[in-house]
Amino acid sequence: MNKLSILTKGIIKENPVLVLLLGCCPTLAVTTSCFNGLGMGVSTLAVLVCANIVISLLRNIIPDKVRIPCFIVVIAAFVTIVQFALKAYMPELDKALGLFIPLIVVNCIILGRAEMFASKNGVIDSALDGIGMGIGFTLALGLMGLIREFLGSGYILAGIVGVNGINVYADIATPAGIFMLAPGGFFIFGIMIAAVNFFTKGKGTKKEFSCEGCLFAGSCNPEDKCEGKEADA
Amino acid sequence: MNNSFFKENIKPALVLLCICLAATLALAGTHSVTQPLIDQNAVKAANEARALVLPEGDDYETVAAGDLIEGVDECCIAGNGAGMTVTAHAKGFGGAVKIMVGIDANGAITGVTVTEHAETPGLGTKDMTVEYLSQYNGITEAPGAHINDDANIDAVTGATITANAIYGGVHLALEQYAEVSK
Amino acid sequence: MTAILSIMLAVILTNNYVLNQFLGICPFLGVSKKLDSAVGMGGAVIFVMLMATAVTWPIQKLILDPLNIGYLQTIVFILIIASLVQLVEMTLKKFMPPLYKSLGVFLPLITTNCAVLGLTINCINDGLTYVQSLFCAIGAGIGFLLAMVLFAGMREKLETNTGIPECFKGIPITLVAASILAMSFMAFSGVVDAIFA
Repeated sequence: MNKLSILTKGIIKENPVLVLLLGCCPTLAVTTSCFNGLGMGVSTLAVLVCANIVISLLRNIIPDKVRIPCFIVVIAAFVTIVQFALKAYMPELDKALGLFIPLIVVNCIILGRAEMFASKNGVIDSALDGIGMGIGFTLALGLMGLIREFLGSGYILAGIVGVNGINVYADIATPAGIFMLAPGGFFIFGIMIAAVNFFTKGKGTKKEFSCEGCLFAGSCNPEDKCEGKEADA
Repeated sequence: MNNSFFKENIKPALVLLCICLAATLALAGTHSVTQPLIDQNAVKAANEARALVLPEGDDYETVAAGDLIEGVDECCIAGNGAGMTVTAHAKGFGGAVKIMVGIDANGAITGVTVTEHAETPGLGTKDMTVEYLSQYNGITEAPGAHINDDANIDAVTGATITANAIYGGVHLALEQYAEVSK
Repeated sequence: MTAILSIMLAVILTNNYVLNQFLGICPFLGVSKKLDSAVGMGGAVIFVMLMATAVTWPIQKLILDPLNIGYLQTIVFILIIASLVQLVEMTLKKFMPPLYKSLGVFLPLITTNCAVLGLTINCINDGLTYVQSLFCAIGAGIGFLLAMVLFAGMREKLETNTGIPECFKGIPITLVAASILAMSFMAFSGVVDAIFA
């Protein structure tokens, strides 16, 4: 695999959110505005790249037995560093993302990439993989935030263009607030995946969850009854 | 034999321990760098909120935690006699809504602002605009159990739960004022 | 007592971890295809949530806070959850094989369930007491189980439906169904407050 394809595969072909269906919790929870979605995406990107690099560097030192705890410690350390940085330099964003910043630790994208890619590949490839996947995640979250913002609040790009953003409906129509709430999140996410399916005609698109992002995929015994595998079959 | 025992059991533990130590050191370093900034941010935000709700207030003195009623987080009395600011919280839609209320020496509200919340952007935040919150200015009591019981204060359609949380916070703040002035 | 009841009802119905706070979406979508696996996962989550809260709360209050090292919270909590899950797995395997058989396969997946880590951090952030935290954990677990079971029922019906457009098959239509379930849970908001008003 050449370097460019490692970088670009995460953006569209293997988009972590829309194609691999990883990291659904933050995708649904923080996308009430484009700004929050992008903020979450960039925070995750930072953790992903740093964790990928460190894990790739340490891949020959870490014994297989304690692999998972080691990954978790490395990831948790970077997440906490990002959390402090946000608190210190962007307190508003930190407030908006709240609990979902520490929860980056258990984001399947990061653990999945550590296990599936960084622990098996060189430093540069791992960094590129992290950047690509992170950009894919950021774009998906930003887009979803933009759609929800547009339908739900009537203002777009809040926090990016001025504090309130651009008033798209010009107070003529009332926005449907439900898109800002939980049901709207599920609904828009479903529609977005359906749209990706429609345009790719299902090609290269995984329609179900599988072991791809599962933390325990490497140590999983094929004979074990794994729910992910079952769904994939 | 001994060598394989080491490889199987001791080495993994040692590696994990080293990684934990390195992570802890890195965090301690980051913490010591960012903590002053985080504290500064908190002080700055509190000062800005105070300047907004009680513009004439100055030289604040904090009331001891033991004298606060339940639901009130902080109460600061202005040293220049302008009044006090009370920070209180009440349950909203997405969690606690924390507000700061400025009350002048006569017990009338000079300003209300939301300092912390997890309400839905675009819906609950409609209750946090300066125009909406300005309806509290000048009132001296908020006796209703629910915002809908109070004819003087309006709720925003579709965002009543947040509006009621703010109302509840104002209610607590006024009670705290009465408690302190007693 | 009413405080505990209202905390529990809130996390089961109005602030349901899955349907309202978007915590634990991966297992919610991944393991809800069949009713029995949904029940198994739900049961395992209740168990781990209770154990994790029982351990992390005292650690935060008795070790991290007095030593002023609260910044290690995320690292410490996730390590505790991961080792706890391992411990529970080994204990069940050894002493309770029947229970292990029904819950065992779900346990490793729970380490990465953000609902567990989210719950332990939430209990600290919300300033709950130890007893309240434990009941909050049970409530959150029950809420998770409830959402899983209801959703598994919906998905079994979806499987047999033939009128779904090609591009909506699989996950997209499942998410739309989840949206409708979340909408129905919204109806509970206000009910809980009204009970305790």
